[in-house]
Amino acid sequence: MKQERKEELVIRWMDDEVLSASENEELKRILEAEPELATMRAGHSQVREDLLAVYAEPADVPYGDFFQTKLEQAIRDADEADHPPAKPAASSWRDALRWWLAPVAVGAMAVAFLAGTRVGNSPTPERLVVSQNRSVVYTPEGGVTASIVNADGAGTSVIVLDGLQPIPDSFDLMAGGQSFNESDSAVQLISTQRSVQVY
Amino acid sequence: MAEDSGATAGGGGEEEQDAESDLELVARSQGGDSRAFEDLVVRHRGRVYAMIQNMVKNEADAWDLSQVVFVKVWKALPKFEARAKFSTWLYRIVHNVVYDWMRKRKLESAGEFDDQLMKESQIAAGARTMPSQDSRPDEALRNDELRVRIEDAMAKLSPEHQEIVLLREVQGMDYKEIADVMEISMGTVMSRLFYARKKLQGLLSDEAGA
Repeated sequence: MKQERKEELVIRWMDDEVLSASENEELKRILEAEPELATMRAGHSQVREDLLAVYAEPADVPYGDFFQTKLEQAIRDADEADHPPAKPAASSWRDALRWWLAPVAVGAMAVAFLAGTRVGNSPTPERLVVSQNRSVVYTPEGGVTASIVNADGAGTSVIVLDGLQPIPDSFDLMAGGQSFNESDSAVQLISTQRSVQVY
Repeated sequence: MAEDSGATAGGGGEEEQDAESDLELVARSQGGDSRAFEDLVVRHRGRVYAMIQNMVKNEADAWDLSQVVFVKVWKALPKFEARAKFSTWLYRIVHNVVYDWMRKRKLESAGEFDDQLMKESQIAAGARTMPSQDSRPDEALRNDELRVRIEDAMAKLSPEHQEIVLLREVQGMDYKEIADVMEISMGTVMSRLFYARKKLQGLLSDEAGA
């Protein structure tokens, strides 16, 4: 008997499939030649039960709302990549403006710089201190890309950093002046504040 | 058409009698109804994630790959012709995504020692897919022992044998569906099942005897 035929009959028999009279005869001959297959069948129901117990499915994917929001964004990105917005065939008047705007902008910057140095060098009787808080984007590595996902359903926004090296547990994260870790040393990764003084 | 209703809430719960069938949702999605597609995803994402997680043994990778699967589903949906069950078609995409990932990972890690693979049968204590352990301590211990025993044995099977065991014994697919998902002949399905079951039983009895 061909090996393939034997395997098919044994598998169907193990799965309690209905076999025809001729198939039962074939199976009988197989079992006479290989009695250990009967033991395999007897043990299989227990193995199946154990597999089901171990691989019982979770009710849902973890963070289902975020999964859905991220998926919507991924689909939008994929659609945009497949169908990029068409560029207008004829160049608009804005394109023409770019050519002469560039030197004008450079000139304006030079004038502003000169004016700034003159103001900065002149003695000022009153010292004016202006403190300005400015958000600075922290870029840990060149290969890191950041995106923000708004999970409206969950009322949450998540910042996703792709390509970031694993952050050791010893690091403290701070945002908005609040520390999220227990240890004393606070490292602010999300934003930095800079104080600018003008004399 | 109505028989292809699929599982609800990621396969964990019972089927809802009045729920729209998968094919109805597919038809509405093909017509541009994004809400219908969302319903399809919500219905199947748990099963897809569980299947992938059981194959790749890593929750974060399984989560990301589940995303890839559904993006591919969205892109391929216009070409889906209801000849096969939607779930069979979906699992074929799962199969392709997981095997692409495995191939890529094998290429990337060629020559490197991957200690994660050595521990692939272990699951992090805080893993979300771990069953909640609100059973009695002795029961929980028994379940943990069973999990370790089964996962150790499964980890020793080839990816093809692992997948066929999961599709047949856990997902409950019939032979034809498995052949469609794995893109192999019925004869190969029977042969793989035969040797996978034989090997799994051998491994489990070896462990029991050890």
